[in-house]
Amino acid sequence: MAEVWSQFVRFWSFQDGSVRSAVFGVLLLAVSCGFLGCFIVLRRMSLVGDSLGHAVLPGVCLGFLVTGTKDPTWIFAGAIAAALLASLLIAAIERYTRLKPDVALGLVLSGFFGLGIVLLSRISRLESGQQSGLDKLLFGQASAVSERDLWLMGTVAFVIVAAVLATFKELAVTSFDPAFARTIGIPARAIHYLLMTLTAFAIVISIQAVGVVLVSALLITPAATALLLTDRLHVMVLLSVVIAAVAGVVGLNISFLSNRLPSGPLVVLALTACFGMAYLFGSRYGVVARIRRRRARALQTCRENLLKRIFLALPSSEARQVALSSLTQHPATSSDSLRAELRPLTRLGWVDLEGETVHLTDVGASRARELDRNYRLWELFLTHEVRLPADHTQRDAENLEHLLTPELVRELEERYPDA
Amino acid sequence: MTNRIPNRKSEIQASQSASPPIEIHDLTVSYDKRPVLWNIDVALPEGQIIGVIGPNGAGKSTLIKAVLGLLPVDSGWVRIYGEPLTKHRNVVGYVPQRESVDWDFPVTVRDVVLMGTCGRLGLFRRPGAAERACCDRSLEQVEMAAYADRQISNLSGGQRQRVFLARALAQQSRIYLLDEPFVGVDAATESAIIELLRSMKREGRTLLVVHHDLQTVPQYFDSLLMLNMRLVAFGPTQEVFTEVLLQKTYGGRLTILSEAAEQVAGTRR
Repeated sequence: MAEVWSQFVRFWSFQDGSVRSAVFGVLLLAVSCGFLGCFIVLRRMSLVGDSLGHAVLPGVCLGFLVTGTKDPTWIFAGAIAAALLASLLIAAIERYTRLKPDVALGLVLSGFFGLGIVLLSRISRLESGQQSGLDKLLFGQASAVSERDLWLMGTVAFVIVAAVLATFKELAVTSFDPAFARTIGIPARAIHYLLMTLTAFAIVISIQAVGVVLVSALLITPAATALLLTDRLHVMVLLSVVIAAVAGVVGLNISFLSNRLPSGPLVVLALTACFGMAYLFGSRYGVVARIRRRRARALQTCRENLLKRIFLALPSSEARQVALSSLTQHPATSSDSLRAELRPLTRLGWVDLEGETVHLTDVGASRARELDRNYRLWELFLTHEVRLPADHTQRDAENLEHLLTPELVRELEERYPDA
Repeated sequence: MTNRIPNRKSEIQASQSASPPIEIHDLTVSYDKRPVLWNIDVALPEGQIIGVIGPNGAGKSTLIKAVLGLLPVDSGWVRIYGEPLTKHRNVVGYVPQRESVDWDFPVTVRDVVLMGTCGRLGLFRRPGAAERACCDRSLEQVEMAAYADRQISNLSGGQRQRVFLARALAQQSRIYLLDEPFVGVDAATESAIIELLRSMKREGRTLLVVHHDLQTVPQYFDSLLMLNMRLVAFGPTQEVFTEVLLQKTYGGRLTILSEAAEQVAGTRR
């Protein structure tokens, strides 16, 4: 335990050079992939990211074989060449055969990856290959990020951020409505190729830290998580950078503490955990929030129905008081349970309970009148417009009166001024 | 809906040339090498609301997309005021079908309408105060100003159509091509849209509208383009909206053309 703690301190004190460059590298990746990932997800190109991730492997191996060393420049060049070749092949298959895009992606992904694995196992038999740590490229090892790698990552991250910021408007328009974008003279195809090229760049600089198998997660998961949390595009971009950064550093930390575990899968797991939390606890689209909203609505319906029952049980339109006993529909309902039901209404200030008498307050009376009116408006609408027979309308009207928004009520009032 | 569009009618007319707003000559267009439009020849008059009608698969949307340069053409050409479209990008506004986009996209109503101003902004420039003002005006014209900051997925069908129209208004074009703007909208929106189109027409704009509800054709359109893979008829609505021509337009697909299209596509031996 003490050892884990001292490792933890070592990680966060950033004294270790390899920790520093790993963390710095992952932050650069978070920025690159966060910026690009949003557009990849919104353009439904997620599988393209995955395919390119796998397709760069043979390029990386060939880049290594040219020099026999792990020269970042050659590896970068080989990877980019492989990514471009793969995307050309995908486009050609889509265009000149009857096969659909998902098939084209699957074909190219597996073919390139197979070749990459063959080359990788050849390299691992070479003497220079054994020390190269090239096999780490499969699952990623961020601690192997060198200073030269960092320079490359920094340059690529800068290019990506600059390019996305410069063409943000065009990227947004072409992602939302590509046909419209073309009609207003935006070079949609050029934008698409720009995005593809930048994605290839981002993938290539990411494989050292997360590995080819999981690199697409860095593009897709932060953006997908952000999309669950916001309805604004620029917020989504910022959020996905933050999510990628946090998950990246957490993943690295765990990888460091566990000593041997490859960083790639841990970073991806941290990202997936973020996604899971957003899915469950997101304030707008989260599962919990939705369940809570639905329950709140059901509770409100219950209370309002009781309020209406009180309102309708009033002996005259001026009266405000009604005996508790007149509210029970079944004689079996005890007055205790009714009292319990009435408690939230008292808290809302709708009614006052004095002994056996229920007193409707001004607030309660006006809310009850509003509900009654909504009910009748909606019933009118159902019988007149939807032409439901009278015996069908009641249930629907009773459920909806609680949900009608002020706008809808206004619209209905315009339709039925004498209701 | 108001009629506040910055370009005054006189300005538009001052810049008018003698050439028709849209001239289509011998236009043939194919999907997957299968022709869907054959040798269309037509010149559209200025300042009218022109309807495009025809059965499903008649090539109505294809015609609009071909005019906009969204589809490669096999033969023929389209001219905008006598010149190729590339010279007049911002002169032609487009209202695509509502279903053509993903309404879960993380943007607000205002963001979408601002996209209409991107064409004249050019690369790298961002919408400024002038574009925002134009966007607000457009939203007022379609009575959507109150919804400016709403996320677009929360809108009804009619509201989405109004957003698309506002985006088109923000383009400030002289010609508009609208693909089924009346499909799936409520009655209030339908009458609001036609009022808006009429006020645009009064400002001298030319509107080409793909339509499918034959009942409203005589009320809505000054001229009518009747299409069924080839041009069946074009002319003033009261002249061409006849039993005989409708029968010719809707009386079944022209089997010979369909067969020929299959042959061209090379799917049969």
